[in-house]
Amino acid sequence: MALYDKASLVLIPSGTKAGKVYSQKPTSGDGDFDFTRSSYATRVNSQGLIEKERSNLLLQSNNFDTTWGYTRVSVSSGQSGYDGTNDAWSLISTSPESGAASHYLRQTVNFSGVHTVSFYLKAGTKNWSRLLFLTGSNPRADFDLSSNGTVHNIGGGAITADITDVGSGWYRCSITAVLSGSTPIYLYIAQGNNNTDFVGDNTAGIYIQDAQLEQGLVATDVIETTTSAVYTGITDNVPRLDYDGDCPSLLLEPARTNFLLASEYFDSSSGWSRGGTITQTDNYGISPDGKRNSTRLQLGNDALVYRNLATPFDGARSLYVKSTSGSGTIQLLANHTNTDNIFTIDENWQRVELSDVQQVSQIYYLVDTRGGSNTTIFDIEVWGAQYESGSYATSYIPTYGTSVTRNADLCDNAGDSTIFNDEEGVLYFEAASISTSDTNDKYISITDGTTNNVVNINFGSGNLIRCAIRSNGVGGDNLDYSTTSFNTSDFVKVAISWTSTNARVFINGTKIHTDSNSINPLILNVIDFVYLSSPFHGKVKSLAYFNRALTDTELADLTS
Amino acid sequence: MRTFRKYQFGSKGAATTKINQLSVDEEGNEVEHNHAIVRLGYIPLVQGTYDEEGNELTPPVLSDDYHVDVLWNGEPDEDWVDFTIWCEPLGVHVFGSSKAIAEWTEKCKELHPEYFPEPQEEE
Repeated sequence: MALYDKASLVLIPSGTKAGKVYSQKPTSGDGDFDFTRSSYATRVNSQGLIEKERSNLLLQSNNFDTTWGYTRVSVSSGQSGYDGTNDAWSLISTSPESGAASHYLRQTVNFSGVHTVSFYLKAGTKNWSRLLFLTGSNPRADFDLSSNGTVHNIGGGAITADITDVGSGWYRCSITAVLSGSTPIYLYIAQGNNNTDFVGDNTAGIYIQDAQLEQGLVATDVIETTTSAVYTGITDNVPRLDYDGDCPSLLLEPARTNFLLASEYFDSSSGWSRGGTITQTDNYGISPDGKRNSTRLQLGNDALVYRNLATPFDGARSLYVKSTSGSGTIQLLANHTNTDNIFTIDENWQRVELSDVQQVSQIYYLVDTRGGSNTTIFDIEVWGAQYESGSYATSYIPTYGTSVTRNADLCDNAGDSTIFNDEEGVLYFEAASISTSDTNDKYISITDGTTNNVVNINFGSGNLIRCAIRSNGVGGDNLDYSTTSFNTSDFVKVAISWTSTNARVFINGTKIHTDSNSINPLILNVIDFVYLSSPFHGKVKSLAYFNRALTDTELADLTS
Repeated sequence: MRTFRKYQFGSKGAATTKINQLSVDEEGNEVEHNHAIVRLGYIPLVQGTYDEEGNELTPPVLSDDYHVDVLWNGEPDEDWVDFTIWCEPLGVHVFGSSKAIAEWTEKCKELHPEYFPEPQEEE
C-alpha cells in the first residue's frame, strides 16, 4: 500500500478557488482549507509569467445601447465581429443639426493612475477613429483603420497608443494615460488624420466591439462586463499556486506595502526623477508578465533614475531587469557610492534585490551609472520596481499611482474530529520558509482549537525548525525538539510521528530525534497554517496527516 | 465585503488607543479582529526636495495629525466615523482590494465632488 493511501488528509496544492484550498484527501471536503487575503496579489504561473489581477472597469463593455453616452451617433447590434460572432456593433453618425461636427460614444469613469482603454475597431464607411481621455491635456490618439492600420497624433499627455491587426479588417486600438478622478472616455468616428469633424449622414461610421479599461500600460485579454466592473486573476481571496519549475507550491506571505507609487511607468509624471543622459522607451519589450510593457533605458555613464520617499527606511528594494544585448554589470536600486548594488545582468529577466543598503537614504534608485567601471552595460529593460519595509523582498505588488498594501495570506481550518486519531499519528510537511532573515515564528499546527493539545512544526528565525507536541495542556511540551541544521529557504521535508509512548522526528529522510516522554492521548480536530497568531509564511509543496504512526522505514521514505 | 477608509488622529497615541480597542470586546476580553490596518503616520503634506545623492534641499512639511488606513472586514466601526478623512484618490496609499478601492472612490466622489472636477465637454 502506498503511503498516500495510508494518509487521512493530503494537501498537494493544485486545486483552489476564491476562499478555498482543496485537499486531495479526504474527498468529502472535510480536509479542505479556508483561505483569506483581502487584496489582490501576484504569482508566477505555470508559464513562468507573473500573473496579476486583471479587470475591465468599463460597464456594459459590449452592450453599447445602454449606459454609454452618445453625441451625434447611434449604435446597432448584430454585426460581424472580430471573433467570428455577430456580437459587434455599428457606430453610425446621425444627421446633422448644423454643419460639420464631432461624433462620439462616451463613458465616464472614476479611477486614478495609469490606465489603458481599448476597443476592437473596424473601418466602415469611415476609416478613422480617435480615442480620448477627457482629463488634463486630453490624452488622445488617432487610428487609421484602413490597409495596415496605423496610429497617429499620440498627444495630450498620452503615455502611448497602439493598434494591433487581429484579422478580417479588425484592429485592437488602445491608448494609455494617467487618469485622475472623474474621466470621460471618448471614442470618435473621425474624418481623417487629426480631424474629427464631418457632416453626419446616418450611414457614415465604423464597427466596434469589446471595450475595456484596465490598470497598466497595455490592453490584456477581453473581460466582458455588464452592470459592474469585473476583476479576474489573482484577486481578493484567491490562493496563489506559485510555480518554480513544474510543480506548484502554495505561496503564503505576510502583508507588505510597495511604497513606490508607479512600479511599471518611470516617467516624471509618476514621480520619477532623472539626471544625465537617458533615452527612455515605454512598452519596449516583453516583460516578466508576458506583455509588451517593459521600459527600455539607454543610459550614458552619468545617468540616474530615482524616486524620493517621504520617510527614509531600510527596506527591501527589488526590480526586474535585463540587458537588451549582451551581459555586464550595472548599479541598481541604490546610489553609486554603494558597493553592494553592483549586479551582473544578461538578456534574461532576473529580479535583483537589495536590503540592508550600506547608505540608507529616502531615495530608491532604479539605476545609477555614475560609479565608473562598476557599470559596463548601458542599455537595459526594467519593470516591476518595488520598495517594501522588511528585510527581504516578497512577491511583486504592482502600483499605478498609489502605494499599495497586499494583505497577508491566511490558510486554515481543515479537518474535523473524524479525521484525527487521539492515540497516534503523523504530521508531514514539505515547505520552504519565506526567508531565513524573517525573525517571526511560522507555524503549521494540528490542535483542538486551543493551546492545550497541539502538534506543530515551526520554521523560526534563521534556519530554525522546531517540532513540538503538547498533550492536555499540562507540563509544557511533551516533545520539543529544535534544529538549525537545514537550510529552510530550500524545501525541507519534516515529519513528526507520535504514539502514546514516544515521538520521532524525521527531516529529509533521516531520523534526527526520538523522544520517549509519555505522549498522552491528544484531542485534535483542525489543521491550520497558523498557531498563536503566527502564520506560516513561505511556500508549501505538500502536507499530510496519517491517523496512525508510521514505521521508521516509512517515515524515511516519506521525507526523502 | 471589505470597506476601505482613511482616518486621522491628533497623535500617534490617540491612534494606538483606538486601534487597541479593536482587540477588546465589550466585556474587556481580548479578541482577535481581522481588519487590516496600516499606520501611515505623520504624512507629508508637502514633499521635501532632495538632490541626486539624497541630501535634503527643503524639508517636507508633515501633517500634525497621525494617519491610519483601515480595510474593515465589513462596515467601518461606527466609533471611528469622527476620525474619517477623504482626499483625492491619486498619490495616496490604498489596500490592494480593487472592489474596496472602487467603493471608497465612489463614496469619496459622493461626499467630496470637489476632488472629482467634471471636465469640460470635448466637442
